[in-house]
Amino acid sequence: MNKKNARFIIGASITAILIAMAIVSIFYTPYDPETINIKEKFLSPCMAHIMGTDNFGRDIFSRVMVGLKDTIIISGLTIAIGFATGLIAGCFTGYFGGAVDEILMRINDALSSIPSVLLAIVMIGTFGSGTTTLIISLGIVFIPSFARMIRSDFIKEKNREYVMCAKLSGAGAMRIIFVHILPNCKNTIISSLIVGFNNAILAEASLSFLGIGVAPPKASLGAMLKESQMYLSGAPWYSIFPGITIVLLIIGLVLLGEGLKKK
Amino acid sequence: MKYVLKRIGMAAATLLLVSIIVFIMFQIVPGDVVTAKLGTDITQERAEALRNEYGLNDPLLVQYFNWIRGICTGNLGISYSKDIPVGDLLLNNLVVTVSLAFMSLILIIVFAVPVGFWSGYVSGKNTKRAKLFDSIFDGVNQTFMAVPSFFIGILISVVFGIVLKWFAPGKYVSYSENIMDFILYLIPAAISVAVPKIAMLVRFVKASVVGEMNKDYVRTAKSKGMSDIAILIHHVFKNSIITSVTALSVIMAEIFAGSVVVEQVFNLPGLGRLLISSIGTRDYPVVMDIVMYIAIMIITVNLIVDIIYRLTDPRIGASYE
Repeated sequence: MNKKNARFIIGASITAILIAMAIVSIFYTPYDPETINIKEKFLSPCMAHIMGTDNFGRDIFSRVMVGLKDTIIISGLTIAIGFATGLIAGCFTGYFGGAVDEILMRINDALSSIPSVLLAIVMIGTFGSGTTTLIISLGIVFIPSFARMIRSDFIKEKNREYVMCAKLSGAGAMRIIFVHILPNCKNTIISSLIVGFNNAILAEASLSFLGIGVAPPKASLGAMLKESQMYLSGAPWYSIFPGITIVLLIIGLVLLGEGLKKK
Repeated sequence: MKYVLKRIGMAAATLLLVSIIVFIMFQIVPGDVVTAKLGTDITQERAEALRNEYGLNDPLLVQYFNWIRGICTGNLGISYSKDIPVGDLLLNNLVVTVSLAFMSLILIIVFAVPVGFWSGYVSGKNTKRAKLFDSIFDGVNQTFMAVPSFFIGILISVVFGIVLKWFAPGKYVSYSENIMDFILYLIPAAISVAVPKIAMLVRFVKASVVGEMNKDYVRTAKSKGMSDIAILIHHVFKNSIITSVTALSVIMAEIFAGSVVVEQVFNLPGLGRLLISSIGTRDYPVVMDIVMYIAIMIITVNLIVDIIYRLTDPRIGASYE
């Protein structure tokens, strides 16, 4: 078994386990993630509560499961918006070039000089918080990076011989873009998706941590970390488990991406 | 020289575009200052008077130029929500965030360059042991890269703040009170911001050192009898460090994003806190100013990095003329 394969397997298993946990949380969690039980607050990890309980006596493991589901769904939808728009923008600007390309790329430069988390904070802060705004804002913030990566691939590919041949045989621009060039950008697309997904997870966690992402009492990994900060000395497990879950999710995806890329 | 001027022009154009985008964004935002300050049940005349006072009835172009003039001179008017000059408000918080970002940057360079260089040198040897080292090192590095900076901040608070009691989490000391204590308090925060970025830069430096080690000139130097260390210092170092400089411009934007979040962990009164409280009170002019100043800092650093890159590497000069 070679190194790349090992990475792929480790990455795929971590990701699969976490996604399975997220899916199971839709039907079943060991305890209700939002029920308050003051008698059982701040229990350290034990057999009944494997990750312990929080300041309201809620089971942390159940909350991590639900938070994981929200994180994955929000990041997934964010990437779907950012990727779909960025893909189309990147394809057309890269292939046709011209004035529109020039203008869009300058706007792209301008937007990338504002950190994406900052831009999302401003957008959510001004258009109102809530999961929908969160997804749309993050989605918009992620468009430029996808557009840039795909555009640079298109610029490289469009002068290759196979594109010439397709043109000579009478293929239209749409056919060349989507049937001929796009499949050749597969590697860039996979790696940009993985990087984008990781950034979306981090951005969602950061925003929830700042208190402008998923609203309490709904469980969210970032919001749990924010709450847990007040009880660090008494209940360190409250912050450690949600944090480790975020780290595992990102590591899993990175390894998966590397395994896919080199195959 | 021509390049430097051209690059400065480009940076200025980007700044102009950023300012236009930010300005337009806050024109289409719902809710205005008057309702935020006075509530909804006020007379038409009072609202009108307040709009006039804040210049909200001026033509948009006039408002835009007034704002730009304010950004350049630092004379930003009075905050709607706090009734103190925005300039003073910003300056205090800016010092904290810039110190934090600057300390993180120093940490990143001081740790990432030697570690990246050493790991690249060891992995570039192509022996069986080097391969094993390579995969272990990459695994560890990847883990550090995956940890969000605010989680590192929390872990540092638990381990060094609560268990070892090396510093008191939450007991911020202002730079005007005691500059030494201020710097000491910023260190754990700077480490939190820096760790994921160190891993990122290590990866970059390592890749470029491995790339250089496999080049012909290294083989030539080796066959002439130069020692490994001499090759490393005289040849590989210069070539790989130049390419690594470009990674800094990507990292710079992330340092600021990281600082804004980590400030909340360590209870630092920086731009992040001001930004969030200003959004909460719908004090949009302050938000606009913060976004604009952060963009100015990032664009300036990128400009400097690009110019240094260009000046230190003659190969790029040749291909651009």
